[in-house]
Amino acid sequence: MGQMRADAFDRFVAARWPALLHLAHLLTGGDRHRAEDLLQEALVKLWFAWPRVAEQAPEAYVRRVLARAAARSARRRWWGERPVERLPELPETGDVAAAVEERTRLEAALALLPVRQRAAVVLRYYQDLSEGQVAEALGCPVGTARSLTSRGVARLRQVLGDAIEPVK
Amino acid sequence: MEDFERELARMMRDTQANTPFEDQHRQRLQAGVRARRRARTVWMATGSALTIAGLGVGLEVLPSASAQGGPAVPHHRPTSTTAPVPLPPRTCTTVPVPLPAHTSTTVPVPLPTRTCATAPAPAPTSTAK
Repeated sequence: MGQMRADAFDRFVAARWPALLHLAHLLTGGDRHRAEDLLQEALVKLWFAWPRVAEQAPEAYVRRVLARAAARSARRRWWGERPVERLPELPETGDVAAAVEERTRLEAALALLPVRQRAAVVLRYYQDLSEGQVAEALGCPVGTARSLTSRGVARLRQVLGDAIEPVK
Repeated sequence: MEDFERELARMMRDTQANTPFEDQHRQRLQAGVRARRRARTVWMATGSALTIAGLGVGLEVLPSASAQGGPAVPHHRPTSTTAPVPLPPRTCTTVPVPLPAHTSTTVPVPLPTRTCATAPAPAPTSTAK
């Protein structure tokens, strides 16, 4: 029984690890260490909740724990984020792939947002959740989730506008 | 959804790195589960000990408190019941008497005299004049 639980849990984590780690990266604005810590914390909680949620929606459970833990840990301590008007210059190394550069730019832009705005934007546009689902994941009313998302997108449009405009 | 929002969603999806779940991640996760299990065990043991201690203190204190506080309650009852008894007759007799005498010319005077039946009969004649 315990071995079956462990196997099913391990299969789930192995299958969803890249997506969950990327979600944690986005939620933390690109902080690798903090993202791994958050994901570890969420998966430990999932292990104890596994008998309840395994047959329902384990990924939704992890998503909710991650989003709330990201907001909570940012309130609890300062992580060295400082809002600036312009993004920092990226390193000019020739072997940096375009995808990595884009990821760095995106994470740097996300790092400028307040944590709840960032979480709302990430859940809405990366996880493709509805406003109601974002509200449920963040534990806030739908109107608040809508407001957080629109303000976050407006700020990102200011910051990333130049980078995205040419693509249109 | 606007162009910017579509582009934002695409950036978020496309920038996902393919990071496999490795043994070091698995070992760290298992260590986290063990640590949390130990913490829960300690927490539950502490809670049980505190509950037992609280019950022990309660059982120790409750019998002595009830033995000392029991007879004190009936002593106060007679004093509290006799106090309100003289108050109602005083208010009933004194209130109607001065009102008609002082307010004989004003309008509200007839109201108390009508409710008091036949005793203040002269009052309506004085207000009619």
